[in-house]
Amino acid sequence: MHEVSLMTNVLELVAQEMEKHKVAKLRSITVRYGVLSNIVADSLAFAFEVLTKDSEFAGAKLNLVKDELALKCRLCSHSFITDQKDYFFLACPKCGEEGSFEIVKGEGIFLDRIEADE
Amino acid sequence: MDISIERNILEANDCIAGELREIFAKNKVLVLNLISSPGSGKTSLLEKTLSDLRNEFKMGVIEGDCQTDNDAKRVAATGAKAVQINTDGGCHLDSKMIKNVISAFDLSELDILFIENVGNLVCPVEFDCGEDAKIALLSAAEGDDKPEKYPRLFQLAHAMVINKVDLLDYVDFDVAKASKFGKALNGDIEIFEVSCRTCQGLQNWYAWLRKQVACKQR
Repeated sequence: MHEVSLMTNVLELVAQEMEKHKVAKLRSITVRYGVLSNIVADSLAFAFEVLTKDSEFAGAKLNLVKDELALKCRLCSHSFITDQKDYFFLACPKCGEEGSFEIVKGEGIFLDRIEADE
Repeated sequence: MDISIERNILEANDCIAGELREIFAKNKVLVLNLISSPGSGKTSLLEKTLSDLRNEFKMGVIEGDCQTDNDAKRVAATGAKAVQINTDGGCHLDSKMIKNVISAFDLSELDILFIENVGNLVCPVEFDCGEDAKIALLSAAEGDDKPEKYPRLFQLAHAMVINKVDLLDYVDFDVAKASKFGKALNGDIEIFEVSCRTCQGLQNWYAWLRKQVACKQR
């Protein structure tokens, strides 16, 4: 989708956090994204490489962590993890109710942590 | 030093979208974000709606396209105020772009503001523009498995408009199948079957719009 613009946002947040914590040399960042976020990990890594290459972040490493999909059945409240993106066609493994789940985890994209030196 | 952060990457967008939502609420203007593939008929649906409801509502349009102001010209021909945003290749509109152009409208005068997003079923879904509802548009000239292939939009949309139903005799589009998937993804989604060419079904869409405007202005 729009990995370059997302990575631009990530690097803006990184710059803000580094200023806040008074650190100058970035070592690595960890970005976490949900399976439902439509993120293409390779494109995100490529965007990171291109955008940091000649910047103050040159040489920093990108760690990408994918959140599995965690669902909670609306009927019986059973929570479970699945790797099926088309979860709306699933049946609850406990009570059998079909397609009625609350998404507990597996959406969005987050800057999780940064590692940097003064 | 290891710094734990947990910040949402889209927080800047969501924050501006929140500001916009407040501005729209204060002015009691209903804001609808139209999302579809290129060529489903977003601009045609707007042209019809803007002309047919011209005496009922004051309406404005924000047009998003990679290039040209062709759509803004089509929409402006109906007499409605239209502002074009060119994303210069960008695949979606975001809340900052919307914020940059809303001063072109007298919001206190408007009943409905339509945002015609860039033709794309994936990216625009992730970027909140401060709207009251997303409208998913598809057409009988496309595959009837669009909701299945691009579920995110249909999960979040308040309404799904199936356009070009006048072509149903000539194409293999199965309205029942598309509707069934739409409902499976989102039990609350309203489904409208319309043709902007023959005007079939548009009255149902207008009735829904009237209801939404009344809700917003209550």
